[in-house]
Amino acid sequence: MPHSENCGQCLDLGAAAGAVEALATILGMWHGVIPPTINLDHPGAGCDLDYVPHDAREADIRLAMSNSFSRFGQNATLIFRRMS
Amino acid sequence: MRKRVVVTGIGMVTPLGIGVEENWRALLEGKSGIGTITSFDASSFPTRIAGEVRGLEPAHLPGGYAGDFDRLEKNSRFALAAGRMALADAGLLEDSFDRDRFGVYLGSGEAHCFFAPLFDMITGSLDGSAISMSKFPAAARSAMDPVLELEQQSYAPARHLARAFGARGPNSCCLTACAASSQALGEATEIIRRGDAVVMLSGGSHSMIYPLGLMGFSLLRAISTRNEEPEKASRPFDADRDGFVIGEGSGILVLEEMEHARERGAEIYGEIGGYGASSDAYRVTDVPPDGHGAIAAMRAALSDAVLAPADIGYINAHGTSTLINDVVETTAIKEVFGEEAYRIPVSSTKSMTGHLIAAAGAIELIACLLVLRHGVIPPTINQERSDPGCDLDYVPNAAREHAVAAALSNSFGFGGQNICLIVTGGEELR
Repeated sequence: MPHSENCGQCLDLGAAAGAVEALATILGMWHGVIPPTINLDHPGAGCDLDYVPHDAREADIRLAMSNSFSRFGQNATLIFRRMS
Repeated sequence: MRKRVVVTGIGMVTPLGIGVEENWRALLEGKSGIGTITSFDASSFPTRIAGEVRGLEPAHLPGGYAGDFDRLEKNSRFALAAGRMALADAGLLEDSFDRDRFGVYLGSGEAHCFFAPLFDMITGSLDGSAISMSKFPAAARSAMDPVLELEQQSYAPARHLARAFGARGPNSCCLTACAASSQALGEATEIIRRGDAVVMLSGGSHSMIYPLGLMGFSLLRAISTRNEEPEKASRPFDADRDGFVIGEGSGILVLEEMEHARERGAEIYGEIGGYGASSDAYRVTDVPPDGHGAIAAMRAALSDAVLAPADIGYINAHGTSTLINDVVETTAIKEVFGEEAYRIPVSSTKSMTGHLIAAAGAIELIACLLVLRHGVIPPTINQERSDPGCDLDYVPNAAREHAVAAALSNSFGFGGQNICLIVTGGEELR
């Protein structure tokens, strides 16, 4: 399952981060393209998933998840389902 | 079908005292918690009075936090003390219930801005009379305390409560000014109703009694300048009112899914029957003269509770003691309740506690629950000269015995957020 991280491109927007990431997730489903995680040159130890490195990737996505974890312990996760 | 939500524990830290018993006694005696400000030198400020919390000690905090007392901002101290009281009252402090389904939802706001680090940062960055951005990072690094920075965040109290009591469920804050803790209680109720938690610690904690907070309210001309008679300064609905008086403190409630509470044989104060929310969509510190936002929120709460206006036996008013709020709130109550408005006792406990801003609604909802339990209504004190625009029964100056089955608490925020909560009691819950 591909995972990507928009913070690489738009930096951490603080309280607005989750909303922008939700939009990226929805646009990814709408257009059938997953935005990449840029600057992923040497994956860190413990980070061994498919992070869609460097380049966007076409994919038919029907369900997508967006995670938001605050540094202070609040965790929120949203799941989006494509309607068509 | 949605779950029902009851209150099984309450905790209070207010200018009237530490703990529910002390507060309830003071509220029934009609005691004022307002005095000349002692926490800093306010002698040159236009307003020099407030309701300050006195007597809070490290021993009031949960174990493990007592040693950090001096490192905690007031918002955190108040919340931790009131939260511990509420959980102990509910019998949940040591109880082994499912902490993954135990959440926190607080009304909160900005914390004390400390001048000393700001002063050091500014003086350390000066290049002539201007601040040099090349000098600033070094000055900031030595002046800023990361723990203090975190303490000044508005979500600090909610984070502390989660850690102190192992609340691993949903954790959030409402920042909607004077309506914040009522809104937090409403949203926490919804979380339990839809089944995402079985226990929520909810309410609010706030102090704006610090130089910038006091000055900000003076600039808005929102606060009383009756500096010579502090105890008479908060006089909601009275003709000679001249603004609200800032209070501080915390009210925390344990909200619990009704079956969960019954199964463990918990004592129930009442049910959160109704929650209504609206926005004035109007000016920042003014309310629309027709009170349409307040009317909509009261009607929404009645509808959520499936109650008719005649079912309400007591209204704890927002009753701030500002010229505009008290007359518009009166108008709105009359619009919603019609002829019943003159029959229902309406009191403002802010006349005694002052206005606890983001914590106000929580202590006022606790007052409503205590009214249900004890059948006595706390008065609105300082009622000396009636205002023709405020002609309801405000329970003037003395508490009154009166059995109540359903009570409404109003909270209206600067910025136009209106939150109304209804609590109900009765044999059915016991």
